[in-house]
Amino acid sequence: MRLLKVAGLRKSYGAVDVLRGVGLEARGGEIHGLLGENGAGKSTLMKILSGVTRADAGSVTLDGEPLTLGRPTASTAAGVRTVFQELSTLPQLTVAENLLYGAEPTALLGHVRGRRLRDQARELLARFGLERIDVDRRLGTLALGDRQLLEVVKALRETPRVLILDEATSALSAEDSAWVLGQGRRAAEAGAVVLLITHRLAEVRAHAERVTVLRGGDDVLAVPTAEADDDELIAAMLGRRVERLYPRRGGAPAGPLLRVSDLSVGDRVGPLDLTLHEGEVLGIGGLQGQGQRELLMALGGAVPWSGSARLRDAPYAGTSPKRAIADGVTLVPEDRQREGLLLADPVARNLTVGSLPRFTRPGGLIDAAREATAAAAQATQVGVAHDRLGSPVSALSGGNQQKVVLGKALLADPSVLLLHDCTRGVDVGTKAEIFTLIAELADRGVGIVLYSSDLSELANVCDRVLVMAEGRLVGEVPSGELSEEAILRLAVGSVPDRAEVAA
Amino acid sequence: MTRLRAPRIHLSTVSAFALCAVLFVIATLHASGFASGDNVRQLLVFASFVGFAALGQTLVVLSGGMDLSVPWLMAFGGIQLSHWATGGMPGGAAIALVVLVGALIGVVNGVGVAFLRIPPIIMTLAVGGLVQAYLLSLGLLDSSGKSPVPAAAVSAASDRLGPLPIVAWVWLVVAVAVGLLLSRSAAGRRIYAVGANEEVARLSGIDVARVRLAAYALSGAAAAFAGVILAGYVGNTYLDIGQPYLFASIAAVVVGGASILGGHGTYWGTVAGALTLTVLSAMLPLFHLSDAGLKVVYGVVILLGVWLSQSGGELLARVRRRATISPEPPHSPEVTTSAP
Repeated sequence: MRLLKVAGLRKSYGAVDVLRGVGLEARGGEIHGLLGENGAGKSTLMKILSGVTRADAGSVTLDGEPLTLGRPTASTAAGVRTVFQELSTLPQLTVAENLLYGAEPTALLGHVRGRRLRDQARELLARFGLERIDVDRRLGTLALGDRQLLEVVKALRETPRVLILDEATSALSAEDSAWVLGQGRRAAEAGAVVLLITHRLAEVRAHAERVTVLRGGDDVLAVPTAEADDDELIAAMLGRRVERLYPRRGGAPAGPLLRVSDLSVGDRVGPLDLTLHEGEVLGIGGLQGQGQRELLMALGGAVPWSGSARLRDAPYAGTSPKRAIADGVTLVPEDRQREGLLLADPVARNLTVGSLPRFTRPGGLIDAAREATAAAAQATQVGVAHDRLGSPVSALSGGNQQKVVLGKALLADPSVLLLHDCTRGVDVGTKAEIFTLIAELADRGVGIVLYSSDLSELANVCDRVLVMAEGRLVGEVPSGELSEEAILRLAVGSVPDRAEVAA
Repeated sequence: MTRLRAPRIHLSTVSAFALCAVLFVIATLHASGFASGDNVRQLLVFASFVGFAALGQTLVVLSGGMDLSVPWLMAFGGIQLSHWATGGMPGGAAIALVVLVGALIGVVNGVGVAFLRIPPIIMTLAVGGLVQAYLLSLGLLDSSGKSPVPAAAVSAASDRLGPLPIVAWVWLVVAVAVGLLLSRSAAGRRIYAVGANEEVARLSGIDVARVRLAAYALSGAAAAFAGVILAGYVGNTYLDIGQPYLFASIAAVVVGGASILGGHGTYWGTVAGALTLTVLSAMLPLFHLSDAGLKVVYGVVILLGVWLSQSGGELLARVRRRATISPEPPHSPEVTTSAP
């Protein structure tokens, strides 16, 4: 049987040991879950396996033979394929060009044979049941979810010996996640070693035969999945027990805060009506790409929309993010790297960039002391260590970056907070913190609109959930009936056996 | 208390000043007169032309754009001034008006880039062409292709106040003001934010179009003013007077350590870049090179300066960063305080 064996792997960046002798054994024919908080070393381990990063010490063998690492080409030649969390596709090229990148059919003179390329791409997509994706479209115009699916197709172009799914499902709807995991299963059945890195415990539980937990650069637990319950796994990840992931709420929603009627974005989304109450966490559910992004962007003033809205007793225009923020409506956008953060800037500057007028003296100069105080206070609220305020935000882990984006939005003191999948790719400890924060804000009367691709989050964090399909609201799950199944039922048009997909 | 501002002195700025100093020392060793008061004053005047031409360029580049209309706005500054002054307008008023109209031409650039979404290189080239056409239509150049300049501009460019020429003082004051604008003001933050990531800036509530517009307007005004003092120094003005400053204004910005893609850099860096370019072009003729050799050395030294301030600074910074800020600890302590 095929066996991937990692032993004594070490890696330091400067004075910090990221891996301290990690070991891992994963068998062919199985899906092997890899759990750990952000910063536990999962990503570094995967980068070493895929040849992007070089290890300081340790060995990796596949079927008893040492694996040459340190260069992506070497790993690829050894049959290691990785689907990364951050997309590695080229947005300016077409779907076909991306799929066959580096393996384009060429004619005698070395030029690419366009028709052949497209035919091959179509065949490839058909093999994976994705005929619906047009091979001629520029990749950048596809939804994030579809782009992630194409990453998987690219990785599975040839049958791999080792397949690494590095948070490949974190951006995906339940349906697409199930598809990706199904592909992982197929690769395993063909004999591959499949490593599944995810923040979703349920995914490991449902799909992985074995699981290894990393913490602080060490492997702290390696068991068959069936032999450990969720509490044990979480405890291993955190080094302690989490009482509950989803906090209890104090208050209950009060009077209407934001009333929207006939909202449309282009001709794809709307018209739709919704009312958000004070102190309410209003969930937006549905399969991915059903207009949720457009809805949140419109409410935040980031895309043009038509219709009317009232915020408390005044008309709400929402014509630009600037005006929306001034009116008290703040958006936490979907993509923290491209929409949320100035990556090269210090954490503190990122926190305050959305509220500059608050720190500006009449002459136009910034009151540095007040800004620093506010940034520090905000960092405390969202749980970012103060000694990080001066570091570039790009040096933070994904979870901490997300906290900075949240902190930036909160510093603007919103009465309506729009959260777009704000726990994507975030570890379980940070998730719990974010949910607690959401509950606190709601208890203070802030109205929160929360879109999430994670059903259990919607079911457990929200007061009620509106479900979207094809740009419209197709139903509401009221607070007494909230469950993952109820949301999914509406999302997929009530096909009962799809509910299993949600697990 | 946490330091919010970027470090007060940037490594790239230091390396640009250092390169300038090295060149200056080499020139002085070769010809001792190079360090004389008169020559230094002369150099400062020349450098101020580059400094003003590159002032707006700095703001535009920081905000993620580029202004190729600078040489034509300089020509406009001189020729329009001459036109109005010969028409009887008082010199001071004419200078103010020329700078104002320069700003308005900059606004045209800004509208094209910010609202019509025309790529900056195309938009500013086109506007430069239009300005050129307008200047040709004025038709007031004399038989030698030149037009005279009013006394106010001449004295601004050649009179002294204390040890330094007036333009050098003006440049110093403006540099301090622009330095403050960039490092301490909300407007400066917005310029950097727009240059670093336009979409993040927009979603953070920054009016991206207004920031762009303001940067191009300031660029237009600064270039027109550069044209005024240049014409005042030369004593007359002509259509191609600004031509050397297209390259110089961009090179000064980049030698000064700014990212040509925006979001990163300072005006003090540009000041160092302007001084470096000026010292370099003044010293090279001392070495009796052929025309071709002179151009080669000029180009190579500028490339060296760009490399120093871009990669050299980065390299040093990386070493320093490694020494002072450690990367994210593998198990961040703040996470463990969570469980609600």
